[in-house]
Amino acid sequence: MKRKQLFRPWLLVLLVASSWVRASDEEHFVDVSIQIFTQAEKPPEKAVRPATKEPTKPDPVQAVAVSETRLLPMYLRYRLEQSGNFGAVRVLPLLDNGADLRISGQILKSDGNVLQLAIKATDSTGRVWIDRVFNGTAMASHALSGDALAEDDFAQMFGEITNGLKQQAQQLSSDELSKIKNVSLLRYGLGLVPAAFSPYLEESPKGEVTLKRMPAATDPLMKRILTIRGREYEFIDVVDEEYARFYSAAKPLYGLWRQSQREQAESSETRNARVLASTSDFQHGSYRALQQSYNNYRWAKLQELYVDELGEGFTNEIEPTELQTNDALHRLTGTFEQQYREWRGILAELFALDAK
Amino acid sequence: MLASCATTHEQTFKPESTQLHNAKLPDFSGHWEKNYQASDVFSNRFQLYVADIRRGIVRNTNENAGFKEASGLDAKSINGLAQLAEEITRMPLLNIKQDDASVNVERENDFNLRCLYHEKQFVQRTNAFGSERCGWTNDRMVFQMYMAGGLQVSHLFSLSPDGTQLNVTSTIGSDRVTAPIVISNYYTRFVSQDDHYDCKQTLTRNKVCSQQGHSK
Repeated sequence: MKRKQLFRPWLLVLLVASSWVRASDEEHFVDVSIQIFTQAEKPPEKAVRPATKEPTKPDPVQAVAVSETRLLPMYLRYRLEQSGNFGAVRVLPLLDNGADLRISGQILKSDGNVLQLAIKATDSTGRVWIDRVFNGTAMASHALSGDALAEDDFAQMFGEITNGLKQQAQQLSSDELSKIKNVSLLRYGLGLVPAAFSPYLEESPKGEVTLKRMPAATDPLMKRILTIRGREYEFIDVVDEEYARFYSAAKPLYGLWRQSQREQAESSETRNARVLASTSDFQHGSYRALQQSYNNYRWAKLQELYVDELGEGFTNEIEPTELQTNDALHRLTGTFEQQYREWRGILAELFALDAK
Repeated sequence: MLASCATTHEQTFKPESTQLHNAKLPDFSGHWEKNYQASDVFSNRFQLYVADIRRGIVRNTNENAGFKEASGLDAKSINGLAQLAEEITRMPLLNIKQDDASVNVERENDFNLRCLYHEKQFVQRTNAFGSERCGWTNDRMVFQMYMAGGLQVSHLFSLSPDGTQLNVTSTIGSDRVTAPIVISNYYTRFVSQDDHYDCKQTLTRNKVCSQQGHSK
């Protein structure tokens, strides 16, 4: 059975791949892989009740939280692409060990007014480019390109992240760049055929990777790895397209959501004013005093309802897009994982044959 | 038909059981309009209420001879409470949506009464102006609200055995009055034009409705 697999048509492509020593224009830039962000905290439960049963309806707070873990890295991708200082910039669900530059992010706070992100960017050699918390305050912005998807209330903050990465990228010497690229390819190979690639790399406990030596330029295994990675990137680009589709559908909605969150913050100022005013001069127990108590309570309940309707509206509109994206990602990931397993098996066999 | 006056300040209720999974919940869902004939007439109710309070005061005074300043007949507070009670118990139309885990009572000219009663647990919520508790007690749904200034409002929803009539017993009390006012209203179902539409809340287009059985 395995022998049959060896003669699959795509394997021929592997075997005739060109040299892995690259010299195209693209090699002047690092390729970036951005992992889908994570949320620092699980959104709090609104009502006090034991979590004995899953809610029957989608939770709007959760829906927003999930959406922004995709939308924010997508926006960062747009910004990095626009800067012109990076090669391919991709967004993917998992950590890409074979990337030149890996970016991960955690959403520490996002309430429409304030966005707080912990961003870490590490190149393949383990050198940390950025590892800090970025804080932004919402400001209306208009992209010069007129591209609505490139506009964001936190454009300034994302500009800071992009500039930080750009500075690092511009400071790279051609040797450093080439080392990053070679190590990323070898790391990728290490993931596929550990026995074949472990002699080339050494990783310190801190995660810094030293290139011990390079394989021969004519090494057939390297050619195969290079081609497989190319194919993997083709796959990742399909995943990335799904995220892009999600981004273009959800971004305007997310903008509205943020705007409504800001309105809510303003209304909480109104609430504070009401609280202060509620210590009124009306005689305790009188109709006016009771009416004021009831009206204040009613106002708070109507606000609550409004917030819930906003959340419900967001969930109802985002749900079809999110389901479609999840389905597509699930399908693609399943296909990819299967193919990746096949690649690993075949490469291990080839390596064993070569070793003989 | 009239509900009896409550004699205590707090119309507290104790859940019979917090885990009544097997019991089928009554379904309040639907459009309801007030049945004025069956419901309390507020002025009559108020007269009985005041008479009850007077009787209570007389009894108190007799029992505590010499203690003349018996509390309870603070006319201004009683009238204030009555006026508010009359306003908040009008509720001519109700639109109730209910599923396994929640109930939402839309009231004309007032805020929605909502309860997320997962597993029939009582749920407590607070906001800047008060707190509320809601949940099931046997086959009745209860909402209790405690507001600033000592105002307490509770609504108890129950369904007639044949499911055609809804009773909402509202209890409105204040810490300035010895007994709360209890008003009982009855409702009958009606078919609304809204029933022919499936409506969905959206962020960009507010409420979007489509005819039932037709996709938008």
